[in-house]
Amino acid sequence: MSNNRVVGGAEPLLELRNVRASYGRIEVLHGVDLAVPAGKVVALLGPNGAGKTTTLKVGNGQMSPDEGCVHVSGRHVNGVSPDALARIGMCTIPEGRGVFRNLTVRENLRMLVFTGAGNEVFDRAFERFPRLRERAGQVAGTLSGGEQQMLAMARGLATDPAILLIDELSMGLAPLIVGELYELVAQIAASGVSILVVEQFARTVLGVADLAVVMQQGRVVASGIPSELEDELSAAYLGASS
Amino acid sequence: MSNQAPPSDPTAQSAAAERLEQGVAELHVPEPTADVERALVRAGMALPIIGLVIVGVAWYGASGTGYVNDQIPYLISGGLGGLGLMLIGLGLFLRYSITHLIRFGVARMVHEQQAQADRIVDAMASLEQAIRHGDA
Repeated sequence: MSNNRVVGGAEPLLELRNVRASYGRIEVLHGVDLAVPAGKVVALLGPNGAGKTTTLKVGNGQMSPDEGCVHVSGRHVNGVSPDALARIGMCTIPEGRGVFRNLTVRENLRMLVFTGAGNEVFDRAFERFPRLRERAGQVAGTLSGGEQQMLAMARGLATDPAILLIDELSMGLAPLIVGELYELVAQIAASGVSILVVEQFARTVLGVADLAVVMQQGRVVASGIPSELEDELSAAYLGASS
Repeated sequence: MSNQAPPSDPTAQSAAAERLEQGVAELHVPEPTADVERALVRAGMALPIIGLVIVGVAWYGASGTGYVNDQIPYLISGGLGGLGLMLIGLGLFLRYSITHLIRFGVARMVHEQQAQADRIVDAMASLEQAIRHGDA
């Protein structure tokens, strides 16, 4: 398996080319190549500290790369603000859910109305997540972890995104709930949304991913279809040389 | 957890992808050097006008009094300050508009040289062909 290989054949919706990024003087991404083709689910895997979340932040504009290019739909977008990218259809569901814990489910969804989305956000969200309709008046902080993650996904999907970036969906959730959430991800992908999932627990996401990219110490160490990556995954997580 | 995803709607998703493509085409991608140069050219156009206004105000103020002691502040703050702004503005405008002009000229020259080289190569190929036919 070649290192730093760009996965996917057709024109990708999101592409990172030889991206280097740093926090202050410490470089954490050392030339990352990654592509999210249209309508595919790409899993970005790797152990803690591999640079997965930083890669996602570079992709959605929260961080500017020191070197390299970020392309969205074929256009170079280095330096474009994350809100501008979100407005045109790139939605991020951050680690830790990113819901307003002291607002109700309905109020959390209403926040989208201020971004220019119409009142149809409620219909879209409740249609996709019927459980949230039952909890519409409940304060988000009192929802279960899985329901909070659903609310975060509902908020993201109600904006009708073309690309969905999900960071650590399984964080702090029971395996059964994680499985159900990934079923939802598969259903979202089936509707044609391109998805980049950052995940530390590889087994949970490989079932729904079309392509997988394994990162280690700020570099892409393997990429390809999930069934081909068993050895590389074991090496990345257990620290063996691949 | 009871969840039911709505049926796939490829039309909606192609609309989202189209919206993304259109939005990306309309995005302003920051280009630090070009953005700064554009701002400096605008400053170069604005500063001489501001300087001219200041000189006019200073002249009006100085002409309203017959005392030299009262006229000197107008001369220094208004006259020299305004003149300074005009010179700085003119300098900026010339510096960055000339840079732009030179870049354009160089790009044109390179393009013309390339076209010339292509013509020469074509002519040489025709000559070579003619010579070969002549030998045969």
